[in-house]
Amino acid sequence: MTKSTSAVRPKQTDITRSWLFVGAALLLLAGMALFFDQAAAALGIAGLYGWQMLAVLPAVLVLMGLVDVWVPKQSVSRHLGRGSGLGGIAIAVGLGTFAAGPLYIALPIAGAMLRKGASVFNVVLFMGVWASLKVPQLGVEVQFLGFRFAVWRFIFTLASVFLIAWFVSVLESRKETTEG
Amino acid sequence: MVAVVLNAVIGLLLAWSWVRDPGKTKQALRRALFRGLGLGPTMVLILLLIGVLFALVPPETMEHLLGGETTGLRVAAASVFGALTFIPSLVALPLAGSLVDAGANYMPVAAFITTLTMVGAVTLPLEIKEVGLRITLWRNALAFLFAVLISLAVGVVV
Repeated sequence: MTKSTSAVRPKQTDITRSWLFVGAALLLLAGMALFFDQAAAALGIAGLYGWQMLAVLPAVLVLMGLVDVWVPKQSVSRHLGRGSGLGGIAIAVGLGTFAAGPLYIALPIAGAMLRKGASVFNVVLFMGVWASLKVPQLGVEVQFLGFRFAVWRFIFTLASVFLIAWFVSVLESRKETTEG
Repeated sequence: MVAVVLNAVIGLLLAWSWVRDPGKTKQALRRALFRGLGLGPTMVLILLLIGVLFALVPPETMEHLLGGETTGLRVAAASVFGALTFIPSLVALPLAGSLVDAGANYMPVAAFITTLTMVGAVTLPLEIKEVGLRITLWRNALAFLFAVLISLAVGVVV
């Protein structure tokens, strides 16, 4: 680790701590007070979705926790240095899909990989997989949107992430040949 | 059904982890608890929002707004909304599910979830700092484009 990048991490890890959250909560409370009759119905519907969420969320959170402790995140930059071939790609995809956490946790890792000489393809692949393919969260997606939706979206997204990484690496290599 | 299978599988994994290393497993459970507590307020807010939406907006109006023909405008609006918002995808999934229950088509819903996760407008400054302006711009622009393609494909298949 040449320089610490964790300091620039966005402070607001979710909307909980922002004024947006407080505003929305106040608006909801005011609305419920104004439309008292509908408030009961609203709470009932909220409860219905809440139960559906409670049925899967604790398990998904436990899975994310298990991945946190059993899959070391930093090892990705070690394995993805210059010249890492198919093995590197497999590690980028494997770690990215199972690791838990928002994109800004992956960005410093991606930066470190680039500085260590990892290929643009591998780095962009890692970022894309981390951002959009979350195996633990598939459980929640299946619960609310159905098995077909979740699985097909996962497959199409996986293919897209590879294509995006390829396009970006081609665009970047062209820059190097024209400028260099 | 989904919940039963999921809980069973993850229960087995947890047992395996406990046998291998109780200390690590405790740490995993602690992380799960704190992530849950962090997510809690946002989750409650979204659930209330779903409730209010359903209670105040008549089903016919909802159907009229979301259902029917999937227009390019709807998919575009959903994509832009997903790219600009910054909510945990775990929280966005029940919201997306409720929209489908209300009669929304799968296509715009897929567009919303996909851009929400793939395109990070809020994290752009950090991404530029870490991997440079060019890679960041290309990656996010392509991610937006592909998110629309993914939603079209999902809409056709599902």
